[in-house]
Amino acid sequence: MTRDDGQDRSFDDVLRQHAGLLSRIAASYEADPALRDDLLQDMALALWRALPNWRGEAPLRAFVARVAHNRGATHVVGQMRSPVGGALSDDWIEPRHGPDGYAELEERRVRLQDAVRRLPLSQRQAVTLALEGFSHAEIADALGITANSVGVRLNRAKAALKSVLGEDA
Amino acid sequence: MSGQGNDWSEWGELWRDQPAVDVSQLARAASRKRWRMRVIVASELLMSAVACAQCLRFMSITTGRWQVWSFATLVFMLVLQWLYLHVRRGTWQASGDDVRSLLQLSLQRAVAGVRLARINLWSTAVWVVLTVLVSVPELEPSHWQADPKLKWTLVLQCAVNGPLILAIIVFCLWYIRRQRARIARIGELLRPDPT
Repeated sequence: MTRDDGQDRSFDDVLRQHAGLLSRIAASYEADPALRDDLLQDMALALWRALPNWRGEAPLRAFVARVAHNRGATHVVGQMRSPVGGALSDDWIEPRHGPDGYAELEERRVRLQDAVRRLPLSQRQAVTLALEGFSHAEIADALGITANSVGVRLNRAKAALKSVLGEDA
Repeated sequence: MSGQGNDWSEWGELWRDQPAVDVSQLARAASRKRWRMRVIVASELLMSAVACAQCLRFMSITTGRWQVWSFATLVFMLVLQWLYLHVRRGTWQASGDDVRSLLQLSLQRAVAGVRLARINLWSTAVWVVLTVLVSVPELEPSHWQADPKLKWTLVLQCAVNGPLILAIIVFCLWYIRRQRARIARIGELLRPDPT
């Protein structure tokens, strides 16, 4: 087995473990399904390129999230039009079947995704990491800001999310 | 748990419950992109090698001012290649740094990109003027009208290099405009949080 084969195999394992995380982060940056798929592939590619640099100083999941957000930020910089979508579209709701009440849950999930996407980028990045269960310190480390700034961003984002989702503040 | 914590944990559960990703398809797509990237890099290197080889060949079959011109063109191409690599340094390995550092790096690259495009525009202009000056004797009508081979060479050079130079100018102007838009956008993203 060559070094490249080993690297690719290790990458495939990492990709398998973190595909969901990458997909959710991609969804926070891009509403259009085709562009979102493309962004997800670019994130996977960025991960393949960045993985040899991972030395284990941060948990792998945090490293993957950081690389994905870096690619997402580059995507935003490259987007000359406004990256946030317009009205909520049924196209975004993936057809999934389940027991009664599932449709309602699915709609809430899509509304949350849409609301997150409407946040300013600085808040959106902090929110997506918080929703993935990262601590304030880990978010601060990934975004290159202080833990205090993370708290400020999350508080502002929470108020905005509640407003958009129509929940009581 | 506080109400605030409940909100985040409830939203977090909802957030993570997203449709499963087709990992095999994603891996295949990423693999295709990896190969496409390698092919692009190989093509760029090959084109540069061919261009340098052409200059070296021209140097070996000419004498006098045309030999000097070939040498100058070779140096010009090598300098541009070096500047090109200098601007793109570090882009092969995707950044594992924090997002703010990446944005700052992107800003530096965009500024360097604008500088490089300007250098490219000016150096192209200098190269065109130098080429015209070197070929003044051949451009004399009495010279090329009496030599069908020279006439054919001049027509061919104008037909190939004219559109090429025009394309370089249009590309550089477009690139400068695009990089300026990037600089403005990155500046917005790097602006500190309002208090």
